[in-house]
Amino acid sequence: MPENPYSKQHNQQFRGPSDSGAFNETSENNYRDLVYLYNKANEIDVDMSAKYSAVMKDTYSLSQEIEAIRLELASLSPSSEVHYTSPSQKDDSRFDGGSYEVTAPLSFDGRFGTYGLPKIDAFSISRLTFTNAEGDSDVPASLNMVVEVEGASVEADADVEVSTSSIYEAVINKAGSVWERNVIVDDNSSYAQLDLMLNLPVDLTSTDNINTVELIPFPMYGIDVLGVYLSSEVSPNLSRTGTTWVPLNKNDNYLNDPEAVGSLPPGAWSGDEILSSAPLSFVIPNEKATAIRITLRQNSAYNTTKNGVTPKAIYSYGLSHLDVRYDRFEESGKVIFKLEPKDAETISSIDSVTPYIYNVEQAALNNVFSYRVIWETSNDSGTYTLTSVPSSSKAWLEVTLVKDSEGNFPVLNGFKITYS
Amino acid sequence: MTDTYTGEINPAFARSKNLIEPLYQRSRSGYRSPVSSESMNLESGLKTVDIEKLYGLYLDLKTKLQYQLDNIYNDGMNDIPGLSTPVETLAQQRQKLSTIRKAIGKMK
Repeated sequence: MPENPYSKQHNQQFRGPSDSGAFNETSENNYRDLVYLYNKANEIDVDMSAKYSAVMKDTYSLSQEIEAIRLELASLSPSSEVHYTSPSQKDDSRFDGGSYEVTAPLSFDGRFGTYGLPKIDAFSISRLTFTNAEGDSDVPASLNMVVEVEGASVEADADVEVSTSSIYEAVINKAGSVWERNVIVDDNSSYAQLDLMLNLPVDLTSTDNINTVELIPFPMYGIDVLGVYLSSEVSPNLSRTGTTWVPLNKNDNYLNDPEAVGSLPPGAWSGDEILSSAPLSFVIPNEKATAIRITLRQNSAYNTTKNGVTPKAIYSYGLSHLDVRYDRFEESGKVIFKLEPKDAETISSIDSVTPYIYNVEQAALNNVFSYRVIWETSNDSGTYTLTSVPSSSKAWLEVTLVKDSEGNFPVLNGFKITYS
Repeated sequence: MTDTYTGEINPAFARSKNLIEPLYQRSRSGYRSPVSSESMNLESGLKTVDIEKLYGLYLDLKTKLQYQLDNIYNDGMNDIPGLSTPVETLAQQRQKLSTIRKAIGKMK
């Protein structure tokens, strides 16, 4: 298979002599190029279809396995407890048209598995990208991004080989685009760590506020997110020490609470680092910001034999999604979850409801979260009441989230219910 | 039932059955003989059609790749090709794993 075309450029003189051998050769080469290109296109098409089908079948099997694990997990929960384990527990539509109908449903974000206040899409904007005339996500020229490696990591060695895709791949909202940074070193006994710093373009929007930072680590569940910070300096210096960086969790909320780790923006207190991070979305009260800093670490390396000679270790890390947003939300919203006790038990009363909300300090939870329990008057009757019905096979939890006077936009990560 | 496989199942061989011939026809010029403008024009026209078709194929492949990536990652409407079994996207699975991990943490 040729990597270069068969056809070659022939520089003929104007009205100069040309021999038939050259003409025939050109003609033959054009033909061979066309045959090659047609068949290469055909081959790629066949390959893509076959591999897509295989990937989808593998993906299907994986999702079945995840669902089996979820069901197994639900069955392992302590007796008299119901945990939130899946969005399939959401059961709003059953109440449509009735007195418990949800008219302002909470926004469920499938990427992060969270429920937030209803988002007003028309007034919600990215502070990093815009949509161009073709409808594609585009990055303004004024978006500057800087990577600064951490002094003790393998990246700091001047001789280290780094191979990276464009950092803007993390920001462009396109399926499959990934900012992937590969650090190639001799052994895998250390770690790679960097700070990604970016300014927030001021030519995109008329606001200098932000309230949401979204990031999806790459590889998924494969790297640690050690810190997320913002700067509000007018002309921030995009370096670790050149600017005052404030943790997104600036009030040290949930200090030393291990259960909150993973849902809190890290970098505020020792021990809040998110190891093997899941996709993350941090919603904070509106805050003026001019720059963002994110600290990423890769502790494990792939091993390889480069050029078949010297074994190498590759620390691979990056982001498949990064957005900093200023979203607008409704004042309140609701969602209803179905509660089913396990092993054919029954529910007669709900004893406690613990919401998992970590972007509002614990003392203020009562201002942003409330609930009601809805019961069916008798099994499968289709009529509902707020009065508890003993020995019910199921019940429903209606959750209401409200924006509070401090400007908090509560986000629900899950809940635990105890019943008897 | 027994399926017997021979070397013919080789993917490269299977693909070669789908060879496409271009429209472009080679017109050969004899030694020092003139080439008619008619045959040169015909050749040039067919070559242009072939190049346009190839460009179309390139765009089709590009679109198809993006469609497949969208389906795998975050479209949420993907089926296994030729079947009607819905498949969860990677984004949905990531989210499920995240929820499961959080739930395990709470049960400890």
